[in-house]
Amino acid sequence: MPIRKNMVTNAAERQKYIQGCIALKAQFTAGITTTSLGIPGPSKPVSSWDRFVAWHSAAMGVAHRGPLFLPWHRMMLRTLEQLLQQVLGDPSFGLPYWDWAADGQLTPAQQLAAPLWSNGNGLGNGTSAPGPFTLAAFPVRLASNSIGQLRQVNRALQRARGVSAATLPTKAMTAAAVAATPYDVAPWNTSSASGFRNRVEGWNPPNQLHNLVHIWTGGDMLPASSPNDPVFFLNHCNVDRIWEKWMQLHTRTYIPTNTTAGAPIGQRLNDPMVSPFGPTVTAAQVLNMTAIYQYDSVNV
Amino acid sequence: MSIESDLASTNPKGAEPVLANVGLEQHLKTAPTLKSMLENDRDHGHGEASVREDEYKGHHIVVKTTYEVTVDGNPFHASLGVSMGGNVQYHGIPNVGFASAIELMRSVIDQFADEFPAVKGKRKKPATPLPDPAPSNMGHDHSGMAAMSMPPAGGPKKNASVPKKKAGARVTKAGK
Repeated sequence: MPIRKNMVTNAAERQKYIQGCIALKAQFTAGITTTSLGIPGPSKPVSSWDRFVAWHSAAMGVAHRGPLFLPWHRMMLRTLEQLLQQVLGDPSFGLPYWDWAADGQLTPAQQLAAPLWSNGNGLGNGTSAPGPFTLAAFPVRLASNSIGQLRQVNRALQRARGVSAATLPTKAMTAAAVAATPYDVAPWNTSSASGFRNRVEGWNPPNQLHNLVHIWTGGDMLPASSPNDPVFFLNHCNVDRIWEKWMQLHTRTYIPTNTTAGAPIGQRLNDPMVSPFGPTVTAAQVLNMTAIYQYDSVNV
Repeated sequence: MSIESDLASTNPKGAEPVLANVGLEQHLKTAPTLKSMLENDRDHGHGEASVREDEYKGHHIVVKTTYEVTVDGNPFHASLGVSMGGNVQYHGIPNVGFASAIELMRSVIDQFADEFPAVKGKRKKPATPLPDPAPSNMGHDHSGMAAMSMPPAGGPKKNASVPKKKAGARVTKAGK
């Protein structure tokens, strides 16, 4: 069974992740093109990695700012994990997570200088030191414009760490999130005044936790095409770990159910979630994944 | 149906619910759906209103908010929404709650600098002087955050954005 481990303290997992990301960026399936995805411009092949960018952009409305935020991204993460296992030839490979709240305990300067961002054996900083994700190895091909439309580009991955937000989330913030109940509340969106989902997504209070990691990392992590940056999945793997911790504490419950009055259609327990890589999945089906993968620690 | 009976359909036996296949056949099954989702999720700026409702001392309050934004006289074709807490959001920068629409638009200009080329020459002043926008943290909990005016991906570009003040970004309705 895959064990998902800390990206910072497990060099072997880190290097496998980087290797797998670059391999998926170079993996193409004949017939899958920008045209077949409805992306304007000349018809060009779309890599397996870039299909995640398109998928996330397409699902902005259903996968964010509502109850489905956590199960939808769990489905996405598990899909990527399987593709990485296939391309690495390692069925035991587990997605690593970035325990960003641990870094949030450091000073802002220390956060920027953390080993995760080193050019040699880390992710690079995305500006002066691209690390392994150079233009040649990991070109950005699809990116959102100002109205959320995917467009074709050809440039290097970009980050602006610590510019729009001085510091990462802290352990106090994750502790407050894990203590929040129930899972979600009406009106089931960014205005939900309590509940775990709206807190961990980073809307209550605004610009914290998951959202703050996007903001702190900056660059390609800001628009809807944020899966361009491999840091996207490290962030969401940690969010998934926090959710797992929450379910261990509060039972594996999800609301709204399909009979909850006023619940938004598409956000309910047994509503289908579309995947370009496999059959539809429901939130109910991914609540308990402990027989599929586990975390080495849920000390969030 | 109760929560408990709904949860009977979860995955108690540990069967793998997520199946990953990069093949063309699977892609073709979902491509029309994803194309439709991409099309529908684009923010076309149709002026959709945010509706906030509240009950206070027996009174029912309804606040409808729409934004009409231009930059250098050109319409900005994206819908802005406002949450119950008053922060302004839009899908183009989906993870940020902005303190005001002005802060949001400044970030749009910075983040998508190539869509807002530098303006040559002196800009005509608006008929009515625009007030300075509120500080980014006014009335909001932005603990742990710097100002919300964000640079473009990879850092600021020279001559890529309009000046911060009196830039001619004439906002006809920019309040919350």
